[in-house]
Amino acid sequence: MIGSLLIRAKLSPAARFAALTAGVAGDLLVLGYFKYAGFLAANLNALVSTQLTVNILLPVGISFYTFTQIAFLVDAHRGEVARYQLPYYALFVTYFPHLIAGPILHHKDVIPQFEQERSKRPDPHLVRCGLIIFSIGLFKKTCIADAIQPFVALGFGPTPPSFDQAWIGALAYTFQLYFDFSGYSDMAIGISLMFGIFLPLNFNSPYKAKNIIDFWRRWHMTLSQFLRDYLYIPLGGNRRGIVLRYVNLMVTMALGGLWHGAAWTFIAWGVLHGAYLCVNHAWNRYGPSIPPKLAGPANIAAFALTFLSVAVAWVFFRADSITSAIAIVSRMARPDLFVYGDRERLAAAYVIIFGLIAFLAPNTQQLLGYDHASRKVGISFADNVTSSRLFYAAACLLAFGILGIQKHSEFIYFRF
Amino acid sequence: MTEAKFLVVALCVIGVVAGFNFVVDPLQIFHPARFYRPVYPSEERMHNAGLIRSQTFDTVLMGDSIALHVRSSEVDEHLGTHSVKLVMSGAASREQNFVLEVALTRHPTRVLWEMNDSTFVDSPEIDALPYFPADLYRKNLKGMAGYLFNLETGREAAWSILRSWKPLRRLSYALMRAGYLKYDNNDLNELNTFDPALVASSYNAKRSLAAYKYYSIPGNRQRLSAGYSYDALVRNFERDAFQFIQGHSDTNFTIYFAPFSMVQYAAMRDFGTPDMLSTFYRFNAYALQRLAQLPNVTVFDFRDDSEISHNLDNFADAIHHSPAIGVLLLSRIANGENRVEKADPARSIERLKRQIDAYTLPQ
Repeated sequence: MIGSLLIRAKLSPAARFAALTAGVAGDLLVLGYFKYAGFLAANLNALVSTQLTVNILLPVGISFYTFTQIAFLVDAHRGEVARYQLPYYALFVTYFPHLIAGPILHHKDVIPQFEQERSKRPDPHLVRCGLIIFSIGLFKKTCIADAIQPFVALGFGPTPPSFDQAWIGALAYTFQLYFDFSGYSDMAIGISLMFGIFLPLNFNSPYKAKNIIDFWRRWHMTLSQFLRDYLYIPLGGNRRGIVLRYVNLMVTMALGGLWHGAAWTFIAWGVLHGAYLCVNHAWNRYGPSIPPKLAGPANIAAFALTFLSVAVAWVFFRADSITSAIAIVSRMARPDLFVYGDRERLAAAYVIIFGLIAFLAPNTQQLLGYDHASRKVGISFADNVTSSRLFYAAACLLAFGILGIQKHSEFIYFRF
Repeated sequence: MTEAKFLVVALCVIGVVAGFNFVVDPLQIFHPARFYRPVYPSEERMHNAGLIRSQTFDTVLMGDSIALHVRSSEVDEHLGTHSVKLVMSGAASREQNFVLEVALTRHPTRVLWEMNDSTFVDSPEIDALPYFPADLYRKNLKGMAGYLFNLETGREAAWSILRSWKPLRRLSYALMRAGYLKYDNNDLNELNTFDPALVASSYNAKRSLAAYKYYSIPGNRQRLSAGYSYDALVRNFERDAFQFIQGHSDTNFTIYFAPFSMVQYAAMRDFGTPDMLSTFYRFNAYALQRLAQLPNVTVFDFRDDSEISHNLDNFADAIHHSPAIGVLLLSRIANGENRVEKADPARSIERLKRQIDAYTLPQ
């Protein structure tokens, strides 16, 4: 309704701003009630010893469709929204492939695709490509992420881990989260493609990043874009001096952390990444330039440092509390506490194998030639897909993906 | 139809894996192991589904963790039976009832059933238990699909065969110890028994008294008496034990109530809700009287055996007796000792009440 008001009605700037404020506040109130009321009550109880108890069930995927609608309202206020028909808008908000764990959709990207005539008829080529992408995603989830999941407990169990257990647990979670979340994103993109709709990419081999700025261009890309366009830039971005730029980065990342869940661990994770980004920007500005001769080793060092920084930050993301996160990280710096039993050896083998896949294997969009911007996919085998080895390999992945489905296996990002 | 080709390839792969799982059948649901030495998972609720179908037996040993360390061979030695152990750690009465119901389709002549009041406290419906593979026991479409169309079954099936090849045996043991392979026991008689080397450190007065100390902490007291209501105990006992036994009049039931340490009763007395002990006496008297009415039941009650219950070195905590006591109970059952008289079934409970009233903890 408010979106329609902003698009259609001739309002004064003050009235438009009031409408936008009301709309965004309404979205945030609903999100705040369902997601953060319990967190606020718990902190209030801790501060002033009240006995507030809040038990609210979190609607699945609320963070994703709330952001989608906030973006729509802000763009409507900016006058950047066309007059979409209500059914298309409703479909955009409730579009099921992305609904529960993203990617975060943008109206300018998706609604025009709904309106196109060609998306109303099945396209055999897109259906085939969608099937292949979906199969890869399912395999990533059930055969890789779920397989490594038991080893995460080595680092995040009830008792303090040893040095090797802490590292194995942190690295296992690093890869589990990637394969789990990118697997879901692939499945969403694949299903959507079967309907002729190109969803935006959400991952682009993030662990191949050579710095943190690059990492955020590759990890949960639609969230990064949202935070940049609707939080960081409105806060002032880099337009108000160096100090404020860093402050804006920290605020944006802390709120990005809070978006993931109502807990101090998520805020700590966001703040940590904010700090990483500040260091990265400061290095770019003030750091020495690398001589061409040292470019190779420097790249390797940059890649390793980026990956390890990200892995350490995931400890805060996964831990039950800040205290246990600190305990795990401190054990990661205690090489004198070493167990290296059978379970640790097996877990290390898993971490290495899945690490090699994440570092060296081409990602789904590279395999399929998925080009979101130009709405093209699978050009190399468009004429004869059955001659492609990828086609049969994907059919096997689908089979193993189905056989790997476990009774209790949910996507990690369902809870955000 | 290219899409159809894609799905056919996928279905073929699924079919090959399911076929392989059926032929090897590592849990022995469809047939006994044919061309490899069977290996069993230690998870009782899983392996029981296979044991019921793959083993020959005339006696079933049922119970919860109290009876977990008993060996089938020990039962057979003392009672002259050919038994299968279907004991499940932490099993509520509904679970025991459900597994027994399936096991009795194999027509054993006797059930040796370790029973205690705690199994009747909270006994939800079997399908409400997320960890219980009920459909595997029912052998219905859902259960069989979940078993056959499953990569985990395939992995265990593959290793069941691979480990019979000597060069891979050591690796398979390492993978078992690492928790990668869930099917990790190849001696059925030793399944979930206790390592003798650990007995002395696991069963002693210090550990038994630690249980008392645990319940003395205000935050833990609720655990002791949570859900302990007379109505619930009677309801679950009637449904899962009395009516079940009554419905299987052609099977002999030897039921025994194993001894708990006096620490347990002292904790109930000192830290339970005010009516906890009276509920305990009332329910047990009721249960013993009801069981005495059944012609196919023989009951043994060891709870008032002060030689066992007062010696805290016999226990690992407040309730779990040592493997040696487990064997002692079997010999006493064989000799007819501690047998509950049908004419006066609640006498053992009256004796236990007097012991609890007089009991003081060792300093």
